[in-house]
Amino acid sequence: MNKNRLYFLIPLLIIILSGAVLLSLGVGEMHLSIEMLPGIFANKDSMEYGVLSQIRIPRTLLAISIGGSLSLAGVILQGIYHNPLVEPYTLGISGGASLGVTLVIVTGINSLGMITLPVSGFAGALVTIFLVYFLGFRRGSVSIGRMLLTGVMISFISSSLILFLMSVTEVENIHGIVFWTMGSLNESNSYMVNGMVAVSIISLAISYMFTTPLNALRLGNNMARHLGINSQQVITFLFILTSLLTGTCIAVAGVIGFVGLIIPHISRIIAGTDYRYLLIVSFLCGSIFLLLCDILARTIIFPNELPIGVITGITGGITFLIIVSQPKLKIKIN
Amino acid sequence: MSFFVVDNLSCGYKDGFMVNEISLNLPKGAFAGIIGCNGSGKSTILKGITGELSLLKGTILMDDIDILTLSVKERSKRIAVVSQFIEKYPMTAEEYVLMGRTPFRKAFQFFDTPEDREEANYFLELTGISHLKSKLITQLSGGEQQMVALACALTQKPSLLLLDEPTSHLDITYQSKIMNLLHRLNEKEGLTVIMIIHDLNLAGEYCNHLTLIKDGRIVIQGEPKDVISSQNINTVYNTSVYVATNPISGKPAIFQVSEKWLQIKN
Repeated sequence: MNKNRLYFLIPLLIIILSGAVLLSLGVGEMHLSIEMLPGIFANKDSMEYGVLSQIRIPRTLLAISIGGSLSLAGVILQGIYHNPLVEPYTLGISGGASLGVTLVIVTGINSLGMITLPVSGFAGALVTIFLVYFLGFRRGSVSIGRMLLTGVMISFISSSLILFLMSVTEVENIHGIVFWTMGSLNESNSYMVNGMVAVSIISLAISYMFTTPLNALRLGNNMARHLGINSQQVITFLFILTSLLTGTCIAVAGVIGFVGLIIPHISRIIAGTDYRYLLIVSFLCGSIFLLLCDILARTIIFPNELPIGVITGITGGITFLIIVSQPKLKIKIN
Repeated sequence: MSFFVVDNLSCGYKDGFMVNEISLNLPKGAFAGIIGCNGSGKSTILKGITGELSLLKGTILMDDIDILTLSVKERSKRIAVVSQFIEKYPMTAEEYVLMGRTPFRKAFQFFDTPEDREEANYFLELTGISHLKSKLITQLSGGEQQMVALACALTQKPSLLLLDEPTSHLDITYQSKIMNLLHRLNEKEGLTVIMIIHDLNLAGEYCNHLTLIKDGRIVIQGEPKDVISSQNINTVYNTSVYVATNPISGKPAIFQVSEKWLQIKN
């Protein structure tokens, strides 16, 4: 990949992201144009300022950090598993998180407060991570096939259990479960928003400490070893990092599929395979994608709102089909 | 002067295949070949040495240091490995060769230093592939890919180079290119080379130490003229060969004899 093109690409993505941010801040029931923004920030008592600081800024931050995080997790997982179909949810983390939330809703614990949902989601994700780790990792060497199958099976078991719980619980609870599973960037708790932003930035920074191993792993686990990389250790660490990151995203926003699968592929097409560039490009592309999807979700059936997962699935899927149907492009992960 | 000493090594797979009682004692600057039939355990020995398989028994000393006590990183600065095939990943030849600098990277080094590029370019030049450096690996021929893999391994600046059948799927142009290059590095830079090699003629011509393996054990080792004898080859490979001397180099050369002529001769 041409390095000059890459130096141009990253600023370009930042500019696109800034544009999307302005759009996201402006669009909604109360239309705010770019020229109005400085004035609004100067007048902190205005209603416009309230809308911005209470609703739109948190939502925009959440879209950026969650889109970036899921995409980052996806690009790393595809790299360490040498498999183009792996995404943050393949490892069963979303299943475990959903099951946790479903249990809390069905047992009525959620009446204790809204915070119980993200907590139970994160707990469910953690349990899944431990299961996949112990079943997949602990017996000698990392078996990629076994880990993936473990993850897929945990997903199946979780979704069956969720269906079971839904079939025995009251109708009102079903609404809550479905709503949570569909995912939403509507989060009013500012601690959760700030926490998510912090987690995503820290994860991006940590992942940048692993660019050399990730690059070496492109040549296969054995070759990476010969180049002085402790593949086993690196894979284990990155698995835990991306799992925790995914778990956090799910806890905050529910299950938002697809970002972690297609954005890494698109990033590879535009940025090449060098992880020094790929990680940040992936993060930025994920942010832009989720932010634009969220703007669509908010506006298409205005004043109502579509579940964001619907938008990411449809737009992302179609875009990706168009891209892969280009005969000139070769997609290769491992 | 012993440089690389393998003592009574045993290692193998869970399914039961094992190599046993493997001992090697090579001086610095040895050009050693491991020969034997398919499935005799040549690659298994190499995997034991690289650490891909853990040893059940035995020690490996290099410069009197037990290499199993070294970290993966320290080991990679001393030993480089060239596999039979390289991972076909869409990266340029130069990027691939630069990966050989991995052991020298600092923890927070994101960009290639001028020194990294210099080293990579030096070995691209040395292996005669600098004109291919901005081509993708996937677009190169098998011989060119093998040269890229070799350049990458040399960029690690190893004192021991391990190769797994580096010439087996190449035409004689690339066979000679690779073997002559290794020979030069061996003689001029004192690079110690251990390779698994199928071609007994190349083995006899270039190596100064050969180890003949059968069923996971050493049959005989020593100088090529002692190892490549019709008797040894006939018993181990179960094939009729005639061993003669290369008229130019004086090294052993083998001729495979067809069934028909064998009958006529007898």
